[in-house]
Amino acid sequence: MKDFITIKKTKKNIEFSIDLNVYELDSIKKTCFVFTDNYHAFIKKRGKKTVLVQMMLKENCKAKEIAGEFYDELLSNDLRKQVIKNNKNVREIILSRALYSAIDFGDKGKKKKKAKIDNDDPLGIMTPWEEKYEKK
Amino acid sequence: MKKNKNNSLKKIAKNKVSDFRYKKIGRKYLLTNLYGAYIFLTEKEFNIFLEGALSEKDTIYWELQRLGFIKDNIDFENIIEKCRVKNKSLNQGPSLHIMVVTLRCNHNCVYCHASAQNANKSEYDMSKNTAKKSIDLIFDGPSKNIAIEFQGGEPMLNWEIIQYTVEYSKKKAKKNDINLELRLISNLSLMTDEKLKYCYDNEIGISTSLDGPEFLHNKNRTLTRGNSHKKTVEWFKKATKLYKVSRDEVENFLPGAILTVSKESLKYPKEIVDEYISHGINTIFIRHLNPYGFAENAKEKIYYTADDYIKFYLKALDYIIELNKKGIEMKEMMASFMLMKILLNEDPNYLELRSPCGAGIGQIAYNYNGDVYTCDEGRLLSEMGDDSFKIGNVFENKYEDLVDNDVVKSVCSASCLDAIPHCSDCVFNPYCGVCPIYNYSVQGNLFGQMPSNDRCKINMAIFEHLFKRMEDEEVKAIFYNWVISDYSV
Repeated sequence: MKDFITIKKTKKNIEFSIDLNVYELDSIKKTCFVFTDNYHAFIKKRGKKTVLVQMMLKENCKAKEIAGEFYDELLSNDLRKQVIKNNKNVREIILSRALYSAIDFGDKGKKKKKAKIDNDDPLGIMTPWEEKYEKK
Repeated sequence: MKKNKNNSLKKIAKNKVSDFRYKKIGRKYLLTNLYGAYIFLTEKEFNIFLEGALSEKDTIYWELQRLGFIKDNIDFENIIEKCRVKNKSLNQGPSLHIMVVTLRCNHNCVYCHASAQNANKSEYDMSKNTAKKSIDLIFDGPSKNIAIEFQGGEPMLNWEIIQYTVEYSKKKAKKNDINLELRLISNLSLMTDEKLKYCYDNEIGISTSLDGPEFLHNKNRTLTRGNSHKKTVEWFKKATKLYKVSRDEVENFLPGAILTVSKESLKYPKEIVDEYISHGINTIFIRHLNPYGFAENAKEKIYYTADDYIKFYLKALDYIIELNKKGIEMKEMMASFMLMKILLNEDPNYLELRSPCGAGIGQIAYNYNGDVYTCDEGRLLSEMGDDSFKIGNVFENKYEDLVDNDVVKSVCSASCLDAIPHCSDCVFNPYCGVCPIYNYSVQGNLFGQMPSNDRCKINMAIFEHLFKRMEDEEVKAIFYNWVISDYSV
């Protein structure tokens, strides 16, 4: 653990030095955000491979032992990032098909939609093939 | 610090592990996915799952596969259908229409959001013409299911307009083949036998406020002349008795009561629940106080922290669960809405738990003077002098103008959970929702800052508690009973 995260604590502040080869910058930012309830977060880059995170206790907030929670959050955010990346395409296909099929083409909706199409599409190009030829 | 064993992130099996969010709750990991499915895994199971090393011989493998957490033989059509059901409200147009028929009120509640006006000031009443224009706009929308809620002030102070609106909207519903639902939100202090019969005959649902035992209710809700608790309970009982009488082809919606929690209420979670039971009321809707709409000095006296509310809510919820275990039927509505999403993948039509929220796309509010707002919260804010959520006026705008308004678009974008930091990765994302107007009033930003947002804190605490309690099969059965017994809310 100490190899890729090191910490330095004072009474009101805590500093993490994090190896970018292990954790992505986005995950580090998200993790800092989680603690903005009680802390101001400052992120500085130290060379190409290290990021320094300074968490400073906000006024009127009580200091908490956050080092452990910070690690857990960082890991969780990094894992989530990988899961999102690995499933991006599948997720988009599922959502777009679900959202399209959620459109309610009930009678009342149909009238509205048709009226809009007539205005925007006088040649009926946007009318579905089935609808066009079923009528004839 | 305890060393985390699942730190081998490089080993995540791309081709096995499907999209999911997670949170460690107690010793287990709660996993949820896009389609609202959930599962608890032990740490060992979680690590093997991530590595894609679960064997088909493991029972948990098939459970994860069935729920869509594993990509092997994934049933796309089933998943797409679940996503469709989850999002079906998006294309249906606003179905809930709040009509503020008057700002006048005969109560002086400690937490009043409505900036209620003196009961004698009739200039704060909705006129017949405004009511007609509002109804015309409502029926111009595409929704085939329309609910009209009469609110105030105390709406019964403008009874004539309620009657007119009921009759006119019923005619329009019949002509346009619309399912119409009418609801009266009232303190019931002005109810009479004749008016109650009118509500029953016209299938108007009744909802009232009951803040607990008499001493507490009357402390929160002061009636200008008389005993508020006595009147509310008296008419609630009469209404329940009448509404229990079945009618052909009419689904009976029994009167409901809502609890608004003030600082004083926090001391009495059990007493409040017992009060509901003593009057034969078997549902209670516990609501957190919106921290806007009253003077700052009043805020000191009646408002409380999110942590205080969470303690109170969970005590009341656990007490209700214990009563259920003893065979006493009682359910809490906020939990029921959440559980309906978790257990049935159904939208309970509770617009604050939707992503995007219902403002302007699920709900519209019509003020007494014809001004139109994204939702009732937007209208409440206007009474404080902030018209940011006004989207038009019934005399000046068409339906299309209202829903195409930039304010509606902004509120809609600000309430898509997938675009909100913190919410986008939250394990409760599939079931939750945000209120941009709450965020705007409390944090000065439509998008809100979730780590310091009280509403986020409260929702997360309730979700987490519900999931924890569901680990107990007896409690899970009780929860199922709650959502199945009241499928359409």
